[in-house]
Amino acid sequence: MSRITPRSVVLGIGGLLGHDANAALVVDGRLIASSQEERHTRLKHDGAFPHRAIAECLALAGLTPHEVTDAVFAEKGLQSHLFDLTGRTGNVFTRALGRVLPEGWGNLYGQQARRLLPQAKFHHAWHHLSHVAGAFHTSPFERAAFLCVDGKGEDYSASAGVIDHGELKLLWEQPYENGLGMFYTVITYFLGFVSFGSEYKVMGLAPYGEPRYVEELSRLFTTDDRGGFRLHREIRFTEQSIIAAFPWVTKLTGIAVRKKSDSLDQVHIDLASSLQHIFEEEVFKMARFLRTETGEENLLFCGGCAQNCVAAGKLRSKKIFTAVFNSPVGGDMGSGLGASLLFERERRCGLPFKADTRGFYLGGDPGPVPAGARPWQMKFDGDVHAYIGKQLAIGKIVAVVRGGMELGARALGARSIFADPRAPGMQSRLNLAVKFRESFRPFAPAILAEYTGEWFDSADESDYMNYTAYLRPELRASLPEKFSSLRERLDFPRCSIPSVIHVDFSARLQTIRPEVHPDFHKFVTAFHALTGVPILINTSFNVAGQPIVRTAVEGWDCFVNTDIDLLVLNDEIFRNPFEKTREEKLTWLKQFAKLA
Amino acid sequence: MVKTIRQVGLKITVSLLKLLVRSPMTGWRRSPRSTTLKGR
Repeated sequence: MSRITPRSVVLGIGGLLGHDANAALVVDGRLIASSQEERHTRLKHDGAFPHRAIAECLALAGLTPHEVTDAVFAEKGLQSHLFDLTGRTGNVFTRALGRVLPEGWGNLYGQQARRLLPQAKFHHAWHHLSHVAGAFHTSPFERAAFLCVDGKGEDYSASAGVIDHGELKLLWEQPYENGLGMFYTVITYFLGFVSFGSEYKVMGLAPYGEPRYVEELSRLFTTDDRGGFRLHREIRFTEQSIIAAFPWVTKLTGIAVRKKSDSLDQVHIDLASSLQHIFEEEVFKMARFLRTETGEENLLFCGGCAQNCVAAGKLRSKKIFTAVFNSPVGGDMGSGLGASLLFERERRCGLPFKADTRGFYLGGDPGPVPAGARPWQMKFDGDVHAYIGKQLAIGKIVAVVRGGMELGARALGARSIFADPRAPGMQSRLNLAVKFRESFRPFAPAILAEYTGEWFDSADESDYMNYTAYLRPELRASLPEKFSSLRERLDFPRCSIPSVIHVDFSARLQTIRPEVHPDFHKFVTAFHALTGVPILINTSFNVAGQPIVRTAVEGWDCFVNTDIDLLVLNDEIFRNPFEKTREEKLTWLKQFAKLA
Repeated sequence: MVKTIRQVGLKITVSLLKLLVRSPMTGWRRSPRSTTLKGR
């Protein structure tokens, strides 16, 4: 039987900057799939050519590599390397060189891509424009201002402008090696969180402290009332360059560097709090500048720094813009998706279009259950959602591997661990015996959307865990004046759902709607029916340093090495054999330790 | 031998580039980039 070849098969490829390689496929204008290479290679933030992610996307579309008509890279490799090499950005000379030399040069993926995709034409997008297109075409806006902030585009750290279906105006930018993202990264490393992408840990630590070191940190940079930010030292995005800056930070702030193995003291916590405070203030200034200059009512907040959901939540509640959209895949894991949508945008020559993201469940199914799991399969009556709802209500921890895998850093209910947020000590239990990570790390509440306003200060949607909100004041317990330790503060019963409410009463919400999360909605509804609480803990199904599990086999492997009670694989439920000793589990964990 | 000469050449070129050019000062600057994939 012959098949009609589609006219346009566009593959977006991200990761050229050396991390978070990913791919996305748009066929005849329809978003079909997107996948991250780390989920396949099991190496967190893997930056190798994403041929496994590409293969998955093509398999989901039923296409072969020969049928790809266009491949769009989400970065310009040459321009990025050139600016890294010279250490000078944004000047006439290097920019002219960047324009004259071919875009294909310096593309680390070029050779493999040409070999894999013989029929494709290749294109290279400016990195931030990939983020912007990815955010706009998955947002509800018809036009908006955009603010893209991250560690590094080719040679810039922040860019801003205006976008609608026909117009994309890139108006302003800031150089990268002195930027806000670089500042956050340097202090993150300085605090002993030295693995790539650990900035979110510092964000989670910040509420435990007070911003007492804002003045000291302010000696490291200059800024203006438009959020024009510049570090007093040029730092490149290499571990070597970042570590070399530590003596400079110590000299100007008078604070000693913390090693990963050192204890986490109040000074470090307050430093994290100060860093987050400065970051938020700079973002607000940028947003105010953009609002004044563009007159737009809507804002797209994207780029790696937009993953800072605390800043995004505050930005939304400040009402500098009428509405704010924080892209759930605004970081580099969604750059291929953005690049493919940027191409599709051009192909349509201004005709309006929005990508159907289907809740960002854009990856493949879990595949078959491993044979080793069969002896532990459980029999249950009725439907899987109702049974799991009951088990959660009696305090069981349940992992789920069902349906298409979610794209992005957050597990959205298809590769998740669920638990009861009311259970005392659940936060520590999950952190220490299931996730094997720092005990201070908070968990996110997944709440039925219609109840959000009853529990939190904002009833706005947060479908993808991309904003924070605060518990309503009447639901808070009164706190003592002072706590003697971090542990005491963490364990204090501050409300009826302590595992998902941070010490400052904030929470990184995921609002659950049946049209966005059809399967997850049923689990939360079942739990709500039994307990009267429309909220579940939702955390990613992995351990510290490990990418989120993808297949049923990986799910089983992770399950038996942790203290999770039950595992849902597709429509079947398994109980944990609890056969592994503590030593065996720790040995298993070691393979991920370097990336934790 | 050839590799060493290349490396030395690269280092000299990079040093010259650094001498020749300086980065602009703080803050937002107007972006000159083309926003189309065909443009540069």
